[in-house]
Amino acid sequence: MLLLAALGCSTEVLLADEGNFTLIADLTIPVFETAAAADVGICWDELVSDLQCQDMDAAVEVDNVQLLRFPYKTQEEVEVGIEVDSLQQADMSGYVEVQPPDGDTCSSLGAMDFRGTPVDVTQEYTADGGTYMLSFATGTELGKGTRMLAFLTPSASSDVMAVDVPTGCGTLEVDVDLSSLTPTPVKKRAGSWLVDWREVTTDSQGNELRLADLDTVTMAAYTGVTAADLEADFFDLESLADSVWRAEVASGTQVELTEMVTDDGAAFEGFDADLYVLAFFCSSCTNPAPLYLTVLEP
Amino acid sequence: MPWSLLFACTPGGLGSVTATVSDDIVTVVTVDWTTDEEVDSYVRYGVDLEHQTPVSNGTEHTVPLLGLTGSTELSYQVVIDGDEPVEGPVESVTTGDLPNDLPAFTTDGGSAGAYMSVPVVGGVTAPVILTPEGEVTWYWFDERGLDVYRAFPSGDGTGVYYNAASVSGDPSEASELVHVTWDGGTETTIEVPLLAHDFVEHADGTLGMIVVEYREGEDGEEVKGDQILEIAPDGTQTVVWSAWDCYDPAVHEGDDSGWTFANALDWDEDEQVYYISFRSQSTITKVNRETGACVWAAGESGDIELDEEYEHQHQFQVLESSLLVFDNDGAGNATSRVMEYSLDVEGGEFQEIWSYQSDPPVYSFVLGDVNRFDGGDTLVTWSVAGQIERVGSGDDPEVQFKLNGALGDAFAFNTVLDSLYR
Repeated sequence: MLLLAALGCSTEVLLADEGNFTLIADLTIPVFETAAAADVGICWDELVSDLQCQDMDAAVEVDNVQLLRFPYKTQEEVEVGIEVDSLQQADMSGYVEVQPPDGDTCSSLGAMDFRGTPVDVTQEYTADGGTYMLSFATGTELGKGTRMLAFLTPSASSDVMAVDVPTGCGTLEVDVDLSSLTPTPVKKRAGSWLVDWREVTTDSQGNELRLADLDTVTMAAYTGVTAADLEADFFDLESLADSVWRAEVASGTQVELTEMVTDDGAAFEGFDADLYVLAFFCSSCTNPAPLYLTVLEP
Repeated sequence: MPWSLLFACTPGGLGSVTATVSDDIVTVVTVDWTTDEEVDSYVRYGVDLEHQTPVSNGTEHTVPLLGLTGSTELSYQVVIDGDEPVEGPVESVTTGDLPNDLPAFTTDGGSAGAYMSVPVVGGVTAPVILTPEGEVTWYWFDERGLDVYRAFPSGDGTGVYYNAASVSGDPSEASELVHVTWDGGTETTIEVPLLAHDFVEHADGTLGMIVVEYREGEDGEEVKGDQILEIAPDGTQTVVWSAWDCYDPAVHEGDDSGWTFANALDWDEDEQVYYISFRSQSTITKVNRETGACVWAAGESGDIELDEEYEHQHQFQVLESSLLVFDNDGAGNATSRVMEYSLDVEGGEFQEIWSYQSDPPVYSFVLGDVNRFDGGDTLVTWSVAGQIERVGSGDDPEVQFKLNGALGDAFAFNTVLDSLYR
């Protein structure tokens, strides 16, 4: 065995649906009723943690604030659409955005535009316009890097002209089951491990999986931590880990574990911790939770 | 019997054949082969050999196989043309895995009826060509930090043209026309500062495009208009028309977007005329390329009235007896629609003869395109809404095909193509 490892023996790790965890996401986006057709002020200095309860510095980590309008979706339908990543571009009838400079934690609807084209808030922010949702993101690409969400409800009877967005922790609740999955066996001693997910068909919420959505892979190693601990503290998957290795998947359905690296650039060398979790994320999906997550069993 | 022996005694005998999947555009396979003599030959290809390349003449042949999708095993076969065609062996090759950065589309219905060359804007900026079934068959990621509004195969058959520009807010001094070979191996550019939304290619390879033009107004203010610039195959640049040739800022007022804000351009090779759309004037104008005269203008600032007005319209199609328009704002209430008008120039009024809204309604506050097929169906590109529909005719047209992008994935203008080979 040692000889095989020394010779760089490669082994394939084939992922399957039964190896995936299950997740139930429940999003409860805070709602703010405001005056309609008005230049409502928005502040986010209270945003000290994001949707996944991760600490954030609102003054520097909010790069883009967007207002999206869904003319024919209720707030509940938008929440469900985000949870299961089913919203389409056609569901939205427009968005405006503002990119605040570092240090700023306040702006207003009137400061937003569509890629440089000004939008008349008094015409577009109306009581009968549908569902309006604010998105606070790190990065400026639509649909990516969302840290917090809030609904605005313009009302003719409201005179509220300012909104203070609260902290994000508690907005997204997840019910996670790691104990029912079938751990994915891997050879403990090998020169390399080529992981392939070509046979995975469903995501963690039981929906049909588009393989190309799995564009980011994270592997975490734990000592003295059980799967039950991770279920209970799911948003802290990374902070509980001894080491975390990452890889971007540009195309295809394979990743070589020895090519995954930590944030410090250290490559994965082998299995020696108590527990290993391999998680696949979709950077363009509205729900930030992993689409596939399995426990590796060396 | 080896093929080389079989063809050794055949006039125009087939030599070595190789197929290479492009590293840059994994849906393009380049087939190279040699023949002993100068002969016409071509490649049959596809999952069931259902496609065919144009004929290549000479002794050394290179053709790209187009219209393929990612991760697909296909067959290909070189055929030497003639009274008794000689067929080479059927070989196989597999296209590569598409980049994960490309957006995914959901479709409903069988086919759009044509290839669709439609840049994707939003999550990524990429000129893309979709198969009639809505799968990506060609793509190119543009990293300039600009937007892409129009892309189409170049008339010389070597690749794809697109415009990298910016039309929201101020236009870009860094805008360019870009040509990318089918396999992505070569990208060439033509610098065109202040390039706007749209451009066309003439039969002789001349490119005609909308470019923003600034002039000083009566009170010294800056007036933002447009011109039509042509670039000949030898690189000569000529302004063939300016908005000031037909319009007067003192008479025809603009809006916050600019005085004219030209946003769509079509070219009629037979008549040698341009058709150009002005968002700020809600007007479409027919321009004589030779004289620069405005033949007619329909809409708010035109000599031809509309019984049901379009507003902030974008792309359009002038048909034999009607005008098809993507009307962004004419319906109001954040709903876009398609309008078709009778083309009654002599009567001085275009009357509505057909219209269409999606169900549920969608809104494309900018861009938008519309194309009529010979059979009467209409392909509607609800650009910002990330939706493409093929619909039938009549008062309650049936949706034959529908394609949607996920949240964040929108489209620019759509060039409809029967074939990717020109």
